[in-house]
Formats: sequence, C-alpha cells, structure tokens
Amino acid sequence: MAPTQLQEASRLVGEDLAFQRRVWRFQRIGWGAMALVVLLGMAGVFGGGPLAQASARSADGAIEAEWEWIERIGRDSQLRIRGLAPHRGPLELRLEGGLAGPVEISGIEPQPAGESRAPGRIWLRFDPPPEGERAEILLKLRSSRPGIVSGQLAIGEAAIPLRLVVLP
Amino acid sequence: MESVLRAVAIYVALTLLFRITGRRSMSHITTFDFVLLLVVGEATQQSLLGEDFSLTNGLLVIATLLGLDVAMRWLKARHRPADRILEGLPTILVVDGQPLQDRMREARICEDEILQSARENQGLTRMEEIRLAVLEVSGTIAIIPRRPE
Repeated sequence: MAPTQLQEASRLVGEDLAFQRRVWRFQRIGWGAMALVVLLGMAGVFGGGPLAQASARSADGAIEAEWEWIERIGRDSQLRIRGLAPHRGPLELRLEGGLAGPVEISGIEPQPAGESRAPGRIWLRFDPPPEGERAEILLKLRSSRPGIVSGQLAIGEAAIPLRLVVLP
Repeated sequence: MESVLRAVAIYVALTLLFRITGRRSMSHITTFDFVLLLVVGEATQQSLLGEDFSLTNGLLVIATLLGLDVAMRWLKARHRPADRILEGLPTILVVDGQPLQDRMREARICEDEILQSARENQGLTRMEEIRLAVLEVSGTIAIIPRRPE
C-alpha cells in the first residue's frame, strides 16, 4: 500500500488521526477512572463500605458509638450506640446540633420509653440496662440535604462529637 | 431549581460516560446493550426526580433535558472544535485491501467485524475486495469496494 493512497483517503474522509489518538487516550484514561470509581465505591468512599465506618468513645468510656461518616441523601445509615446509664433510673440519650436538625431519625431500636425535642436538641429516654451491662441503641439516620453535618451524642456528662459528610 | 440542576448533572455525566465508553458501544445494539440501556434509564430516574414524582417536576426535567440536547446540537453545528470533541472523526481502518492493524487495535475493531460490514453492505467476502473501510462517527463501518480492473 502506498502512503499516498492513505493520505488521499484520509483527506477524502476528513480524518485527523492525531486528534483521534488523543480521543482514544482520553477514553483509556476514562476506563481507568471508571474502574477507580467502582473500587472506591466498593471500599465505601461514597458511603456503605468499610472506609465509611467511624467509631468513637467518650473520655470516661461511658458512651461508645459506631456510625457511617460518609452518607448519601435518602439512604438510611446506622448509628450504633453503647452506653452506661449514669446512675439508677432511665438512660437518657441526648442528640445535639446537626443530629437534631438536617439529619432525620428514621428508626430507633429499641423503642424509647420517652422522647422530647427542643430546637437543636432531642432527648430519648430508654429503660436502663441490667446492672453492669451496657445498653445498645440503634438509630437509623437519613439526610435530606448534602453537606457536612456536625453534632454530638451525650449521656449525662459523657459526650461524643459526630461528623457526617452527606453526598448528593 | 434543584430539578434543573439534577437534570444538567445527569446529562453532563451521561454524555461524558458514553463518550468514554466509545462510539462502538452505541451502534450494532445487541439484546444485552438494550437491557443495559433500560437499566441505565432506571438507575438515573430516581436521581433525576428525587422524591418529587409530580407532573410538574417530570415536565421540568424533560424540558431541561430536551433543551440541553437542542443546545448541544446548536453548539456542534456552529462550533467545529466542539463537534470534533463531542462526536469524533471518521477513522480509516482498511486501505486498498490492507487492514491498518494499529488503528484497528486502538479502535477495538477486529477484521471479522469489517468483513461482516463488507458482506452486509456491499456483498464482499474478502479483505482484498475492499478499497476503503471507515469507522464512522456513528459507530458503523462504511465499506467502499475496489473498482473492477
């Protein structure tokens, strides 16, 4: 095949091979990016995976929490709380800041014995755990707006700050 | 406002993703490709509408998508570089019966596909009978037969 034949054909069909090669390179980079997005998604970078998990414990050890710090709009995430009642009587869990505002509580296990609300604050009262045992409470959280939500969980004087990144 | 932004985001993301996957993927649709398109539509539906399933929201999203499509066509017609970037250019795969292997590899097209197009469109059965095979921007392979000597 003579090179002039290819040049002539190239001119006839309006080909620009250098440009097309750049497009192919862009596509290959794009495939890599798509694979990376899938891997990151499996790892939990967009919520719902190991990298999205966070845990914290108050300084006195009275309250522990595990939650998903990366969240998506419209998806339920779990906030698992283990806490000791500060003294005899009901265990009162306090949710403050963003946990009582932009984030909605879509489910509570076990059902609280009582609940009261004030702007920026929710109190949930539970039956106290058996002597020497920790109460385990599961809250299902759902966000309706993207952004960063900061709040605090507290039982008595013990408190844990919580931060959630809500993706659109 | 939010519905319009959602529609714009989905349109841009889908345009980019389909551009990345390549023009071959949208031509010669197989049964699986068809199912894949339905699944893509289903996956984007919730993102487009959110939790608002009202007629107003649906019409707003449709108007936004169609408006973007008209704007994109206008841009491609008026601005040649944009047309090249968004649609691509034809690529020659065979000249004078000789397959250009490096281009075919990069375009992810094998000789069998070129011969299939040659049979379907021109009734040709051998590579030597092809003067030009061109991968068009639509994803089809155009076959120009050699002139009889």
